Amino acid sequence: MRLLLGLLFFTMSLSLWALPKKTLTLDLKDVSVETFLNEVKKQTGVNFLYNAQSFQEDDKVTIKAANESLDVILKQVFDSRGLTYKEENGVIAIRKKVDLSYHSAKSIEGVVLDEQGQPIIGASILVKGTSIGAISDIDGKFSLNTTVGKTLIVSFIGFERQEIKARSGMTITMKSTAQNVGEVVVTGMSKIDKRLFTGATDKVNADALIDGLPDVSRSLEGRAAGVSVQNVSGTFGTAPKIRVRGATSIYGSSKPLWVVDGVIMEDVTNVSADDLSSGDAETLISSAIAGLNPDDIESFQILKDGSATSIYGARAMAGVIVVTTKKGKSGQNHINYTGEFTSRLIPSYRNFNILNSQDQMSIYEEMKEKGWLNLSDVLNGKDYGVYGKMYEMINTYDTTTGQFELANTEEAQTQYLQNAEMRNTNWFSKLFSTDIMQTHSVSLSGGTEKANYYVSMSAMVDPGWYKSSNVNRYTANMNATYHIFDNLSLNMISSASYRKQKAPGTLSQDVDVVNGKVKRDFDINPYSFALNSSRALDANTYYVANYASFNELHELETNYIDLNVVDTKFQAELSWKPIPELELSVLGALKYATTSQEHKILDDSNEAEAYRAMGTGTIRDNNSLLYTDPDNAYALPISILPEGGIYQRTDNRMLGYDFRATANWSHTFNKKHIVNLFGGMETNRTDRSQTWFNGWGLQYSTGETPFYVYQFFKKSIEEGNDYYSINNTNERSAAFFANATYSYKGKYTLNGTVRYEGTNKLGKSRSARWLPTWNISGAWNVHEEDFFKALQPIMSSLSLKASYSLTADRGPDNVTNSTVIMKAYNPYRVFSKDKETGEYIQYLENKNLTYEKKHELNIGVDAGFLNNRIDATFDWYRRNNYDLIGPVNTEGVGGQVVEYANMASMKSHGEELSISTKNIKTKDFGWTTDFIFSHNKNEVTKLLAQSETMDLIKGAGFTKKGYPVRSLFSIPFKGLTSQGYPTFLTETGEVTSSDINFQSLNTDYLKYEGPTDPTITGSLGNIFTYKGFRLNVYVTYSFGNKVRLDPKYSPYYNDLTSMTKDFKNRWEVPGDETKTDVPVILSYREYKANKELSYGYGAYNYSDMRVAKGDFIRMKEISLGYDFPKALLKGSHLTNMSLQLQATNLFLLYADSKLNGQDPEFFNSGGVAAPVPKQFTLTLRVGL
Amino acid sequence: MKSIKKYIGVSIVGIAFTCIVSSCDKYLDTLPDNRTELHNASDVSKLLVSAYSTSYPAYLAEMESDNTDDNIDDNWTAVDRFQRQAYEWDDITETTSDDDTPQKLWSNYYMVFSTANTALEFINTQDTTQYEPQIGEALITRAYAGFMLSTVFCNAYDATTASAQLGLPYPTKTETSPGSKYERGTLDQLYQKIAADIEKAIPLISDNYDQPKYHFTRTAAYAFAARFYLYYQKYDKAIAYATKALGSNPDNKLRDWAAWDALTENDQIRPNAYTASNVASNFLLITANTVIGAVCGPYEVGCKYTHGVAVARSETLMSNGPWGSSSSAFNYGYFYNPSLAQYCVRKLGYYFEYTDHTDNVGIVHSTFSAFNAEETLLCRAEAYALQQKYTLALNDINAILSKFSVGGISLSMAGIQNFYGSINYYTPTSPTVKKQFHTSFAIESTTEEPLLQCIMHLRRLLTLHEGLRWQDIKRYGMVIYRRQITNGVVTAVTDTLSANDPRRAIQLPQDVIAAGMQENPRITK
Repeated sequence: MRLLLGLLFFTMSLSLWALPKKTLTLDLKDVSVETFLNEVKKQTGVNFLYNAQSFQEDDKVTIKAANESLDVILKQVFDSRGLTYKEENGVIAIRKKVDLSYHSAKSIEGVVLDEQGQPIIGASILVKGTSIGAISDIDGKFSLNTTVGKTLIVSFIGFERQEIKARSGMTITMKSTAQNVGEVVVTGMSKIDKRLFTGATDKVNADALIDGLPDVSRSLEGRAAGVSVQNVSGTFGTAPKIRVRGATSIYGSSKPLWVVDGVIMEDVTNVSADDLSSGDAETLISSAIAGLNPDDIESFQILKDGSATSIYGARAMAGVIVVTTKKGKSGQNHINYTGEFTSRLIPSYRNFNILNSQDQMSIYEEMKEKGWLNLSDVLNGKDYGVYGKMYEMINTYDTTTGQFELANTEEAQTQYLQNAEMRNTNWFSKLFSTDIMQTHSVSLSGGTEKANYYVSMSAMVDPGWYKSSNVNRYTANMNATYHIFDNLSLNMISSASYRKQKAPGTLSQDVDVVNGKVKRDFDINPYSFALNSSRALDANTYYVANYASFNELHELETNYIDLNVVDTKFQAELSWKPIPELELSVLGALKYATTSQEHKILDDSNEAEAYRAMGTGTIRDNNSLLYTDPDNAYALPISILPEGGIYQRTDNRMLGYDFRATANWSHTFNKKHIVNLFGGMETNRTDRSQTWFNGWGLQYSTGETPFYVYQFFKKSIEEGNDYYSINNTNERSAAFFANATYSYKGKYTLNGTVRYEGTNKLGKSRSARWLPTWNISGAWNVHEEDFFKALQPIMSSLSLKASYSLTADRGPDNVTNSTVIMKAYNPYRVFSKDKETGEYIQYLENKNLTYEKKHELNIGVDAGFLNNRIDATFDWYRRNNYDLIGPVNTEGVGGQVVEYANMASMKSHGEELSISTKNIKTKDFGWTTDFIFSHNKNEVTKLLAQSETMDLIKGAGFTKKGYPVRSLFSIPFKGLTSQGYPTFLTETGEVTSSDINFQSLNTDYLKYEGPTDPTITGSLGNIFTYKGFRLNVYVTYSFGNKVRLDPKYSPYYNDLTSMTKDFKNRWEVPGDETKTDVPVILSYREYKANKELSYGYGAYNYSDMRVAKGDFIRMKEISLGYDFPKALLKGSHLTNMSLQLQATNLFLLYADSKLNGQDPEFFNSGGVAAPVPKQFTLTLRVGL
Repeated sequence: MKSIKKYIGVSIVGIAFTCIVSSCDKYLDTLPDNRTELHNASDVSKLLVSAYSTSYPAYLAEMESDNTDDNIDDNWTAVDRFQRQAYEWDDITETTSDDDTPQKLWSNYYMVFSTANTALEFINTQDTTQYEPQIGEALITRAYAGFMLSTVFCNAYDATTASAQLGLPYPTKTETSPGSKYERGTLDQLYQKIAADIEKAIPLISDNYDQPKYHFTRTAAYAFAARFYLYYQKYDKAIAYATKALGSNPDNKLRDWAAWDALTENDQIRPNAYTASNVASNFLLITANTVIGAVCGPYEVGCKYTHGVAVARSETLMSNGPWGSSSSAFNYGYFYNPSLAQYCVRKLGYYFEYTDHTDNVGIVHSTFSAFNAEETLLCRAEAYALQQKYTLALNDINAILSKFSVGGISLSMAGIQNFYGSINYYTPTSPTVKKQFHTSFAIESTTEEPLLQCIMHLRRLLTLHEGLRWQDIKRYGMVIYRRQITNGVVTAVTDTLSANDPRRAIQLPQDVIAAGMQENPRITK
């Protein structure tokens, strides 16, 4: 169908075509036109394409020619019959020539557009009952000599024929014939007619993308049934957690495969799905497609079931997302500009459950009464805020004024504390801004029959939502196709992006399993700072953290990460059609990405100063960042960073090569048997390199000169630390694949795929590396049956599909031991002179190691009602994942008691429903609704070894046999004691406040809360159009998961802590335990007497008291757009112009009240993590 | 025509496919990451650097032995559940939370087998004559690992019962798939296999190492063989190997105790000197991951279960012996501080290796003098005594005392007989240095027993904190008790380990048992 469309576009430019330089000899008399054409075909091999109605039945051709050129012969025959012809790819299309002379006497003007508003060239407009007609020109415009009110018949192949009353300035929008016809499914390797496609897939067009979201993957939220997108962090560069039909692996990533223009996109570094929410600096480079300009995207095709993904077989277990970028269209030359201006709202304390400074100070006062916050402890302590500052001022003598900074009197102190009470610092307004993020994108596109091109550049300039978060991204994209010969074409795509980003300095988070705490040292993330720091603090005052002076605003200026990312791709594809039925193509691609993360800790930052903090003897003895020489019995602690700061640099480099050769043969026998064979091979190679360097003592303020002391290296050697490291990985894979499709008249289709893939990832064992995967599927297009006509038009289309498949994935990155894995190491020795280098066995051999596998049964129904005004797609699937990697307890005689092997399995099932309806459709007003619903449930059916308590109660959760893949468990809370201590049930069955073991392997006592991945996701979108206006109201929803509330409880607090309003309701006097579940603030004496009480407070954060439902309904997008009418633009050079105002992420229509402002999608893990902001975007689109 | 073309096409594709698959295999042989492979003798030597376990049973054995009491004080707590369970002779449920658990010992010593077997399997594909030192080191490390495992998880070897006692698997091939099953066999079989490897290894071993003190040199291998054959009750061989290790003049190899004793007890000065690689007495040094350096060091860590004042006063550091008071007779100064429970000799360091610098996260290490001249001399003395060669045994004791004691005390046989003959056997509430032996072989009571009591007394002192006392208790069937000490006084006796208590063989890790390995018998309560 596409081919035919392409042909007709060119019929207008009559002078451009050229026929094969062939000569032929004819001697025909009174034969039908068909016979004549057959004879020509026989001699020249050219095929003809024509509408039989173009010729009168009794029209006879007589021609005699010897060695005459085809051109001359055709002219001779067709000119006299009012026909014109055009050759393309060895096919000659014949159509009626339109008398253009009517153009001179125009009275009615109009334009013919397709549904996307693109002009249709070559549409025929005929006045009903006459032979008066016109053909739309290159801009889709036409003019006709007729009168207003006459009926016009507008037709164009591939579109529905329309009858419409004539009026001047009319715009005719042509509707593509039937949704199912002519649509293709892009698998990234080939294009398949949707009628013959038997798998489950969803297409998301670029117009669904949300403006103001520079990472396109976030826009997929709610757009496709079965695809869940969780924005665990909204920071640019961080990938959202995307699941296609839920998790497919227990320890593996379950990340879908991204394929852009046929090339698999590899991440520059592998960040596991659970680590996406860690807030670590590495997450900033976790999105493989952060370098894609949203404006360049044409569409997404999401391949969901095993049949759709089977061509990627052993990599596709978690689904495939195929991205197609824009290409130039022949005959349409355009320059388009898109400008987006986004402003993000500053979060407000109104939406959060945080105490104001008055209430907070009163709790500090209680803490003071309970023996905390006394002068000498605070001043010698690691961190202090308001109280410490007061003591410090009382102790500081100002020589110029001859007075202490704060008089040591009760009034002065009361005054000082009252000031703090009244302060109510708004940290959000100090740290966040509404500065405008701008994106400018320009694209040029166009082409001729011989060649077409699409070139674009874009710049995104983001001053940052909060301090130290600015991003600039520049992208360029070029996509050109050249038809070298009629049957040989070359497509070249190159793209490049550069990103410069700043982020608050951060270290990696780690888990303190003994006390049950997930912690991050030196965390200055503005969002978590604003939520976790007391509002009684003054934003411009320096308090103390890690024994050194600390001020958040100053720290953000002096401790940050500079990120530079370059991402490039070069690809070329050569296609050759030796015969019309066979297409051979080869594709080669090279991808190169390099990122550098420079963590700059400036000289006067808190993190650097902490290395030299030794204000008092007590501090010097307690500060673990100082160094005491073990060789000198009388050594005092000294600083190993006496001058300067720290420069830590991590570089990631990725170089990927892809090569693919494919052949596609399709033929229709007898107009009944459609056969399509597709096969090929590919090799992929990805080399990654990561280097880390710890630049010690860089003096940023003194000409960037390093200054370091030898003790730093001595300490490093003694402690077994490296100051630099290199890590290289090389991935290789090769695959062979074949797909066969047979269809009887497009009614019954049978499809099968086989892929045979090998990879080096599992190690050097030749037996483990190869895996065949397959699929078998079928479809029945019921609407092609004769009996279906009876159901029309109430039921306009119906197809049924079923597939069964085996797909696979390579399992978690660290399990690659098909042969024994030996690594080099330097065993720890106390003295540097005793050191030596060696090798050790990291993992024992597992000769049976294999891919993780999945069997999937999918049954789908596509149905259209009321002339396809209601379209519904329903899919049901059941999956069996087996050979999953999981831990297994062994007898340990190999040296590893717990090994990872293909010992686990899980199952899942789900349903997906998409309904799109055209509710109202009048000339000016339209209303369409899209409803998407997906449900997925999974359960681990086999897992041989258990995880410890801590893994199961953490926010991301973990699994046990019989539970979903990521499940959240809680320590059962058993009320407060008469002293106000929280009590819990433990694995031994006792109820205790202190004897809690977060490492227990017996986890049966834990309370199951629910999965952490939602089980129901989807969206409801309504689009209203009125003339040029377009209102889009888009709501996403997600249900079924549980969320761990932010940990707020601790055995002790300091005068920096901010608390939630729950603390107002805390246990204060005996008897309160019957009224409240909020534990007492421990006194210093109680804490010292029983330090194990801190286990109880750790447990409280992980108890069933601190869990909320993750359900939400989110007002994702409200946008109002306006397309300026063509008439208005007339006279200017503009062909189109539109404006759109959009509000994104505005509010939650529904969320659990226990969340108190905590975003259910977002993991507040500090570091570089931030939620997706509420934002307003103004978009301007202009085309020339 | 068309169909022929098709066949040609198909066969071309077929041939190409086969070629491509085989060349693909080559393409896919690229190593996926920076893992290493063995190619030559130097690679094998490097691999054998890791044939020394990073777990060492000293902490576990000290907790189980009579060197440890339950010290009652409000400020003194257990390090963790593991320490309490070890002290209480419970089956230990902690698995990997602690570096000293039976599971860590089990997996790390069995990893030595895998390492040695990987080396040996590679060597078997090469010209073995080029690899003799490597074969020697692989066999001796494997034998040592088997021996160490037996000291933890098996009863002491007793020739009369060994063929009825549970042994342990002694794998001689690498494991190729998880979940492989093994038989424990008998203790007799285990000791035979260890002996066979030792005998095969010793002629091949060389002293040519980058860090010889951290590898089995010939001397270290002889010392190991001496201890092994002593435990194996083959005293001729024990004597022969001890003599090889010590040479004709053992004095040269003894530690300069006076110089060591002159060092400060603070910081890691004494531990550093005790385990220095240039000390001739140290035959084999092993650095392991353990917190014993804190529990048996001057730190407020694990004070509840440590070597405290009561045992120090009546049985070890302050006890009386034929040499007079141990606290003044020896160059063996010890540390104590009234706020801590520990009475400790600063032999074991507490070394912190940071894995995350700024987060203060890391691994705690100690270095052990696994074999040294003094201990080897004591092995020989014990073997002589058990062969009724009392004079030779006395000579060896006096050789040790020549440097260990202040001013070079020399004992006489009569002095030893008088001292140990005159004191009562130990009871938990009236402790003495003399615990009754329960052995299957007869011990002559006038000379042999006092001499063995003296050797046990010296062994206990010299190997304090290093875990060997637990083996002596097992080998001689000494009955020991769990005592609560409050302010230096025994306030309760909570448990008794009788001579044939099955808890002398520490229970296998729970995960290993769960995977199907035969567990050690226990008396069900």
